[in-house]
Amino acid sequence: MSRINSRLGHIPEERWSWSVWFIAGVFLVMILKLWYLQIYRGDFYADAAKRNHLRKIVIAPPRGSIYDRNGKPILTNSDYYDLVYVPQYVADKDKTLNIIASILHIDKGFFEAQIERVKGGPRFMPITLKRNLSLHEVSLIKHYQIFTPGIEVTLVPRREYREDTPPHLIGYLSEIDPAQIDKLNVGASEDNAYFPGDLVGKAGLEAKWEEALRGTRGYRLVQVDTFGRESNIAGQNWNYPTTPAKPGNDLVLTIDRDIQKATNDAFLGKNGAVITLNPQTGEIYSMVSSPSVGPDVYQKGMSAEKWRAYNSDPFRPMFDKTTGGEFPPGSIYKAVLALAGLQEGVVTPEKTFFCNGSFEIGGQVFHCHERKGHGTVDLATALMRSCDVYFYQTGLALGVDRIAKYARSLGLGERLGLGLNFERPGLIPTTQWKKDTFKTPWTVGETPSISIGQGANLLTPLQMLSLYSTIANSGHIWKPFLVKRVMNPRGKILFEAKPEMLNKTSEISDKNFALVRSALEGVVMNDRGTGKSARVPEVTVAGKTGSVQVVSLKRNRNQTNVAMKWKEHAIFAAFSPTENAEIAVIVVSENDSVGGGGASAAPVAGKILSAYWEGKKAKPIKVATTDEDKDGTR
Amino acid sequence: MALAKVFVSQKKNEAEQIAGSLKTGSSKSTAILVITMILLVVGLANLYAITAFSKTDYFSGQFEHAILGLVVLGLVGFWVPVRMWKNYSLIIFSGTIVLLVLVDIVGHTTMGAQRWIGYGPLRFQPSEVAKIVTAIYVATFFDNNAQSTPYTFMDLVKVIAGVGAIFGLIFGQPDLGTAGVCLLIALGQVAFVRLDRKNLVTGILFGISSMVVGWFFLLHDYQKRRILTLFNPEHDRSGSGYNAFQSIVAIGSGQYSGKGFLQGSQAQLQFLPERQTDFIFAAFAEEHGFLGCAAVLVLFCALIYLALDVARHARNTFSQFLAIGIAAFYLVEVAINCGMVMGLVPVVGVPLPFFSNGGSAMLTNCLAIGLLVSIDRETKGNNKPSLLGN
Repeated sequence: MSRINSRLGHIPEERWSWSVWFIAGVFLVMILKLWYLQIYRGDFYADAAKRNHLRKIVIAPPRGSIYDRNGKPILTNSDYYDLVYVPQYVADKDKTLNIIASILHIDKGFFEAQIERVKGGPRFMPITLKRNLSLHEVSLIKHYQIFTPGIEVTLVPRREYREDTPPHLIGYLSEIDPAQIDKLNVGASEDNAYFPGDLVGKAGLEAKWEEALRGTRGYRLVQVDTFGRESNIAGQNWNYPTTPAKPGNDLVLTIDRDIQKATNDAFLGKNGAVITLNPQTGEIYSMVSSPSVGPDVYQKGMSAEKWRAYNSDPFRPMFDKTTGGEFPPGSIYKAVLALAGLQEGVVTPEKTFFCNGSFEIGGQVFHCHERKGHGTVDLATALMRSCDVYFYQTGLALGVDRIAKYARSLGLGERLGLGLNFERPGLIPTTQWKKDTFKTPWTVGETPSISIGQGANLLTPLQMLSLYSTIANSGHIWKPFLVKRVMNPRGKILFEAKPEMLNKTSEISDKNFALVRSALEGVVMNDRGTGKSARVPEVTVAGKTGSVQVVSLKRNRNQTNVAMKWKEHAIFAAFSPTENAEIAVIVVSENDSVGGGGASAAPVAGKILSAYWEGKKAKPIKVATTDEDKDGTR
Repeated sequence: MALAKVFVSQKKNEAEQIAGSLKTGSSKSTAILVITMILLVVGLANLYAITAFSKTDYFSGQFEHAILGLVVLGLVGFWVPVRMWKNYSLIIFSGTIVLLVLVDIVGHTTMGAQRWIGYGPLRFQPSEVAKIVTAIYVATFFDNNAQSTPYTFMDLVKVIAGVGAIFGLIFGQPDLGTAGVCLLIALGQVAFVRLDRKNLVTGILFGISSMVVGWFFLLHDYQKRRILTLFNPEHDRSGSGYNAFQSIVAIGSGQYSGKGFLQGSQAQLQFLPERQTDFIFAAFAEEHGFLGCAAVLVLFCALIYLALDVARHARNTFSQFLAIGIAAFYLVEVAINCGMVMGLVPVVGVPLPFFSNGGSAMLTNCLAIGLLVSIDRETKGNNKPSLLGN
């Protein structure tokens, strides 16, 4: 104390003791108030906390709706009732579950398993015991609620699947698994974190656009009585604040519901994939993979038995073939050969080959599908009648690597970036690829198969379609897309898709594209063309058929007496009209029981195209515009 | 002989002096550091407990801030001499003003107020540090303008202008709580000088009239509601009343010894609003009861007393007033925060030192402790020659 420096002078000595008294006073008041609250009134507040009459009720947000390009609904929600179990409010677990089990006629073990599954979670977290209660069940549960504290019925908006909801495209929802919760909740705030039992998009657009679609949950505080029933006693009820749920954002697709329906109808009974799109922008109009499993099957929960049945089906109903199925393209690949041959000067429109029905190289005989031979054929005739011999020779003159170069310049052999389900890159064989994969050099005897789209060639249906739309628009490779725009529930546009050009083929001249287009027109419009059953009234159609041998069958060439899984794939790719095409379509029918591309796939395409043109006559289709369009410079 | 005796006794005196100074010099700082560490550890454990089931991980972030805070404490307490703060006070003050203006222009918004400034993951709340800067500013003023006659209004114009600028900028964010803390720190410091009586009376009258004006023109509706709720809990049951009620239920239900670590149902069930920041003391009270709360309050009280003691023995006016400012800083924050959760003062956003989640606040608290230690060491003459000169 002696060190206090008196020369500092201007702090009056008494201020120090004043301040000490002041501080002591402040803390004394706080300690007294604590004593009052915690000791004197402690029992009262302990009781209030124990029976805290407030329940925090979670309000599930409605998932965003999905509309087609014209604003027609493709997928919306409706309200469902769920049975929920809140552990902290349950007085007697066994008794409660017994009552519920007898009301709903469901084995008690089922509920116990549901509770067991999320064991270790906080006791205030509600557990969903049963989804989609009927109104009758809801009224029974409400009736017995005084005996079952902790059991609640919640209203949940859930997907309303229509009969024509495209399953693979939309995808499905299913309960989130614990590993996924940990992964998705990194950095999430309390309001948008996933809880056990939440539904999450597992495939298709539901998975890809999960973030946009899911919305934010809300909360409601309610006062309840000791039985857990919501009470509303006048004078005791506080007007508690509510945080409303924020609905998810809506998607507007490029899909046209009418074309989607026509596609579905035309392809009914066949297995495989059909896609249509706008070759000038990449907007997908319709997309079907068949067979399929309805999303409602997933939502209801699939039994192990059912899952095995779906899984062992040779046509793989759970698999999206539009982007993930890789098929040999067959004769539709001849268009690539034609473009490459013209560009490299290997063939000219006038140059002819003679087809006597087969072709021999290195002691190996390659047959034409027409055993009698096509006679003397030029390029247009070779495409029109799908002469294999013509293209064997074109392919040999080009060589496998030059074919691959042109295939790649047309965007084949890599993913197009639609990003839906499990998109595959396909395969364009080269000598290097053979060396890397099989450690053996390429033999010249492999080139003829490659030239007619057989052999190691693999394309997804989406790639086949992209190939033909690239031919239709003279080399512009547009990135295919499905979501036109994302809007919040109030209609504000959050995202607007613009057509995106992946590449403009510089290797092939516009003249050669035009030549091949007119040859392809012959395939459909000429009476001797293989694809004439794809014709539609008043409009030109250009296309190419393909029939892919699944196994080489010497004896059963006419495909009449062959087991289903050895039947040919029937393929047809087309666009319409020939110049300035508005729509392109691909039909891939796996192991078709009717016949090849011309007999089976072309009529499907014909039906879809006529539906498009008829629909267009009724109402003009609005297409996405590029920036140049808006500026009027194009 | 006699000479030798004198010499020996001289040496003995010196030795005693040194030993004595070391003993007394370290004991106050040691006490401050021990109390700080206890509060820091208890605060972190409490934050962990009440957010254990939360989806957001508050704990690890706060832990990192605490480590960073201790580094700041070490540097400020044992390396930077106190005089430095006075010499650079003008730069510190104007830098803070610039930051506060920047917050208004480019700051991040949380809960409807712009308080944050930063780039990427680094975010900083200048208004927290402004509390200590206020103390430094006022201390510098009194050091430069020592006078034996009472201070008149005109003498204090510079202080009023400087503190007014800080207050106005923070109030405009809007952040009534932090602005109020800055003002009260300055008032606490001014309370230690003689003021001219006439001017004092006029000042009080002016204060009252400005409060009236503020009520009608400056306060937001939600702030008015909170003040009204204090006087009449029935005033608004849905908004402010709900928070206050749940907070009091949480505290009261803690009873004598609390529900135990991790067992506070009010906080865990999220009935308690803002339980990781402003209402954290209620969550603590629920889990640790009267005994725990009283212990924490006694520790805070001891810390504030030690700060005043450091001030009283300080060597120069700047150090004295800075230590007073720091004592005022802790007193104001603890009294307002604890008082607010118990329903003694209106609900305003003031954090509880070492308990509430928040990086800027943690750094500010550690900075304040570091300054106290530094002043105490200056008083005892233990300051080693510093690398920074002076």
